[in-house]
Amino acid sequence: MNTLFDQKLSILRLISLEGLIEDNRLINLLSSRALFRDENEIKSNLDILRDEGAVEMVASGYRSLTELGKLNMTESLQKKRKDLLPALKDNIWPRFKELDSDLKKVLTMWQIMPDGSLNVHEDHEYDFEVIERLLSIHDRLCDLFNDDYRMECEFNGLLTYLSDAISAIDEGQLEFIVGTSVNSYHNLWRELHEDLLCTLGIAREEQ
Amino acid sequence: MFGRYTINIDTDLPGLLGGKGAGLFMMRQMGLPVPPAFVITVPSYHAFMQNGHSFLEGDLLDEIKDRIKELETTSQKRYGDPQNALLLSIRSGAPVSMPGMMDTVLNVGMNDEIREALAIASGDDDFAFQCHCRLLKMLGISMFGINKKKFEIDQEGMSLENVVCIYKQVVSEAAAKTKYPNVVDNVWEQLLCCIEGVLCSWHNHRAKHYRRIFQIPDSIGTAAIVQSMVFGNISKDSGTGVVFSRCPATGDRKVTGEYLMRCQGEDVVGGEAACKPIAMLEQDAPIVYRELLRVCRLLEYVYRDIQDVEFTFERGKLYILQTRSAKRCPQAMLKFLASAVSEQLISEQEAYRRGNLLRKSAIERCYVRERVVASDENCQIVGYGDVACPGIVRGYLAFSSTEVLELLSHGKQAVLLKQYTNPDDIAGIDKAVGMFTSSGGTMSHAAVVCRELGKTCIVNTGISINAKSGFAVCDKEQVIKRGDQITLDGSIGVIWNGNSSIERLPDDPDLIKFADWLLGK
Repeated sequence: MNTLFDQKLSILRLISLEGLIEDNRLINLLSSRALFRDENEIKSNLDILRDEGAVEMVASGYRSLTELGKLNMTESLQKKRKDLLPALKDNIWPRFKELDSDLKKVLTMWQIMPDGSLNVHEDHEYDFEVIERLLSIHDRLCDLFNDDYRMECEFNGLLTYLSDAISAIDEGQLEFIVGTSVNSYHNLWRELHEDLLCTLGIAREEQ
Repeated sequence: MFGRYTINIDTDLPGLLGGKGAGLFMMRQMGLPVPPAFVITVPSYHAFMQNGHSFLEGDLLDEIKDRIKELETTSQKRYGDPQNALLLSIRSGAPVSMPGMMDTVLNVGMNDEIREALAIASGDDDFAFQCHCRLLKMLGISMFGINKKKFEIDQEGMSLENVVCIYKQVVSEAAAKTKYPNVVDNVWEQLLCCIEGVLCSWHNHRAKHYRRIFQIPDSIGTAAIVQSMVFGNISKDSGTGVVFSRCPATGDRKVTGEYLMRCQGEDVVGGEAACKPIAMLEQDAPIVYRELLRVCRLLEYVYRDIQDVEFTFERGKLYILQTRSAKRCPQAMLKFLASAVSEQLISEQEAYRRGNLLRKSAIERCYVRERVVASDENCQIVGYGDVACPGIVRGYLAFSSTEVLELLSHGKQAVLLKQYTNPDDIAGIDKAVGMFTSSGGTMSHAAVVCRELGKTCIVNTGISINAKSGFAVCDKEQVIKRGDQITLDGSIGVIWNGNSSIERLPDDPDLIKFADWLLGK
């Protein structure tokens, strides 16, 4: 596997996911992942992507993907996973969609109490029940990808990061559930969701 | 240390007896009708663990037998005596609240002989069989880790006696290789097995997981409560329920809750049976109802907090099983604190101390009782939608994250309008004061992000967007344009165009005054 290729692809994927992103946020989110321990490497890859015309500066401090960047990302993902496409389409995607729907329900439960009020996280019994549901979804997600060794290898990176988020939640770092400033479970899940959409060439509104 | 009506607040009762045990102890001191009980203390739990679970053969075993004798004297029943059997509940009770994480066993002290005698004494075979079934099921699942599916048998056309036989066989098989092989028939084995199981449930998987997540030290340990059973399902004038001394949703000074006639506590908590509102108890059992109201007032007076009270009445006599501070929303908490100061239940300093434990954002929600009003005749409602995240905000209309950033660079607040809640607008959502969409649901990923960022969000408005031309067509053909002033009323899901103002609705003056005070306004 070409590491540099994967690093650049991850950068493109994160920019695509966020739409507009400041360098600091991009570096913070990526540098806490195993693949990106070196901030300078991220900056250098960003420069390469800019020079290639895949990334542009659209407002002060904010980067975005160019049309070329979007195309490169989609083509790279699809080329890389050419052999996996049938299994992804027929097996992974329909089951992932079910999980995605369940995850959204659970995260909504995490944020909104059954009476419609915002959850201020003072009811530990309720929160614990929601967390248990989240863990069950994660187990199902792992089963989904681990059922097929090729999928397990291909998505190993994101699955590892998702498991890291689960470990953090398990240790009481509850911002790793839906927090936006860390590699939270929700942020990483969205990344996986976008990755699948992009690989399968599905527009979000069509899913 | 204890008076009849006063308490030395320095006593760490929960640390010694667990929260539940301390509550029972206090209620007993207050002269409230609590079923007789004793507590195996938290230090005893530690001794039990340090001695490899075998201390039950030593001093504690003798003390437990002495305490059982005391229970027999108080209740005028005898443990293991078929003619007048004392049945027990064994409950866990840690110093910190861990609801539902550890084990409880009811009807301990039951075997075939005692069940038959109970059926004769109560005149109700079904009641006696149900009590026996419940014990065997709890014993099997909690103490021996039997999968609960083994107890989910098809009972169609089967007598309750046969059901008991099957349950007994399931439990006996599991118990055969343990140190309690005769647990099904021998009531003393039952007692010790359940005490050991309840103490050990501090270490069950769920309890450990709960403690890890909420960062409760494993070293605390638990107490176990051994209590005389009372039955809400023994007769027509028996029942069980849960009440709050004040409404946990609003903080209003009114006893709320529900109950069931001829049922046991689990039926109310389980949510499967249709419970009656507590006010109806005045018709079903007027003496119990009046006594319950008195108990609620007294408990609130002693604990200086909204109480969540579990009760059972057996043959028209009320028993209080548990009291604890009620879970309530922050609004109810503030309302209670404000009222409690007016009622001289707590001091201003105490109210301030407790109020400050609430999150600032929760206190600020007291002001949510606001509404949008048109400041001139051009200001009008242009759409309605579903609320994904509440709040009232005003800003200038933007159709993309880039436009949001541009407005911000000119010192203007932005409201973002999109076709649907798209996750790649996260930067725009973060910088805008709120967003609204044509389609999409309240559970989408972007709605999750909006809530996490605390941004007002209204979805599914049906507004037709033409972002390239910089306008959108609303419900009644009204047109809103890029840069227009927009107000989102996320309390009711309404979108306004034009010059609006936000007006605070009249609210409980005590509550607002208290919230102002807490926020230093």
